[in-house]
Amino acid sequence: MSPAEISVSEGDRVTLRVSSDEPMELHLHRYDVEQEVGPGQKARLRFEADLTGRFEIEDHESESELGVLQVRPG
Amino acid sequence: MHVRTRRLTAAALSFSLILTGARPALAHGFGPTYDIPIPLWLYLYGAAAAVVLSFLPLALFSRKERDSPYQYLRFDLLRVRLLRTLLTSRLLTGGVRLLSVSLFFLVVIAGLVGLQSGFNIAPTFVWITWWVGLSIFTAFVGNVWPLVNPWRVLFDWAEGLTRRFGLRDSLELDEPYPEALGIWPAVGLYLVFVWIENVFSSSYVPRNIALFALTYSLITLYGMAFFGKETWLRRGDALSVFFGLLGRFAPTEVRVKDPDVCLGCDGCGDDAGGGCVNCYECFARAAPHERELNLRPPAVGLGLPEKVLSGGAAFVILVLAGVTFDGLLETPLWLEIIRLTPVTQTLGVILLPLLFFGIYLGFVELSRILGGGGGVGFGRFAAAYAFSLVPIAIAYQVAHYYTYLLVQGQMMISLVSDPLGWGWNLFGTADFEPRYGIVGAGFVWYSQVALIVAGHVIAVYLAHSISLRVLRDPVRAFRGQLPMLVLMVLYTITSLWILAQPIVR
Repeated sequence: MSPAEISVSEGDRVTLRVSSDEPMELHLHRYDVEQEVGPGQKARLRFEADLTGRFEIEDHESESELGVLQVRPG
Repeated sequence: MHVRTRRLTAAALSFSLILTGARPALAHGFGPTYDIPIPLWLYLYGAAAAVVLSFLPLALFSRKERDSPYQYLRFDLLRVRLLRTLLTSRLLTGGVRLLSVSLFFLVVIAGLVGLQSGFNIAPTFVWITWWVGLSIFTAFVGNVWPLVNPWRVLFDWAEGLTRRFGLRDSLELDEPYPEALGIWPAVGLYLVFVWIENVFSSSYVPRNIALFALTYSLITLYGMAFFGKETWLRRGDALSVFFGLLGRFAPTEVRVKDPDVCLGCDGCGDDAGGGCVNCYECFARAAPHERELNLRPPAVGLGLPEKVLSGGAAFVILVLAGVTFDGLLETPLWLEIIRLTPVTQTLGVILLPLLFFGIYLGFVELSRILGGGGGVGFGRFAAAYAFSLVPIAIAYQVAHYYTYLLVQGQMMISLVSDPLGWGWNLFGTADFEPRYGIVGAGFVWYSQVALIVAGHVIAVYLAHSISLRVLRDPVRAFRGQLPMLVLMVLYTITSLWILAQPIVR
């Protein structure tokens, strides 16, 4: 995943625009946001960063970690 | 330096993510961490606090004369009738020991035949409940390992059985232990443990856990049979030595009042007040009225005079280095080291403790020189001062791991219902989802720094007490502790620095 780590502040409204050359199901831990992505698809995840911490973004099927979302307090 | 204030209008941020074919990442055994690196300003405040709190009290302490033996506040819990009945109850102690052995067998069985990828009690129990949980319990409540050590319990039961059937009086061969070895076998075993915990990439695979447990059983049981139970546990069993070290920090101790009980006990350190502290062998032997189970201030046990065993200081330094190495592995600096030098993780497990040991001995020599030597052997100095660093290591370990215990530790609730991952639901809790939002990252930040600074303050106070005890003369003690204080500031700042590093895997 590029960038491998996304860093935001608590309370930010975040939009992730995702492009992928392989079809997969993106899953953001704890926020439990899921989105199917794939070649030719324009996918968007939207959420408010109200939980602080580091959250894995993974490929839901293989459960392999793609990257990390970091939400800083304050 | 400013604190981030909450924005009134939340920023709208957008990112573009590019995914290129999911690589199977190095799966962490326990899922995501919830700690975020502490911000720079908090790191600097913490470091400054450590420095100030080290050298400011010196002005107060230097006046104090002390020629009396090392003493501290104690309260015997056994004087409270309810506690005495509870703590000495055979039912309770026997039950706890049975529980411990049962859990041991459960872990081994789950490791061997349970589900290998996913729901299995072995990794969570061993690495979180036992390793983190029991360590924290031992440091903050008391050392129960001599009671619950499953190998000790099994050995006792085996001996009891052979005695009952009239086969032999004891299972111990009692071969003389080569005293020159000191506790170096424990040092070696602990080094292997550090490697397994930090470097071995399959350390949370249930089958491996079972195999390690069985191997350690063989070593420990054989050592106990060959050299004698207490001798081996004191010299060669890395876990007993480790928990014993944490037990020195703990706010409880067991004490035997009558010095005659300790005659011939090779484990007792000399307590100027007579009798012995935290010698479980003597405690088990002593009559009820000779025993005390005392509440005491934390960390004072680290200042008690200790029988100097070869390898004693090395063990303490190894524990410290292991704790630091754990944190170091996730820093960008470590990635650079791996990239630019021939150092590997395995090499690091050996090199970092050696580095720590070298630095430590250098500072010990400085302390000895400044403190005027005083006819005190270098070995004794090294052994005594090593204990004063322990509070910093404990503080870092707790700071680093308590969120694991609180969050991933909740997995135990579901795991007890389905320990082997076979789809059981023994207690109805198999579907329990851990509650992740228990602590916010902000709270974690402040508590981590507070813990480490507190550990540092305790260490500083200990260095002072130890210096007085070893050097006796207040002026020389004052000078002798200065290099130690510098070392402590360095160690604390390093620990804080690790907490402030971006996490990389």
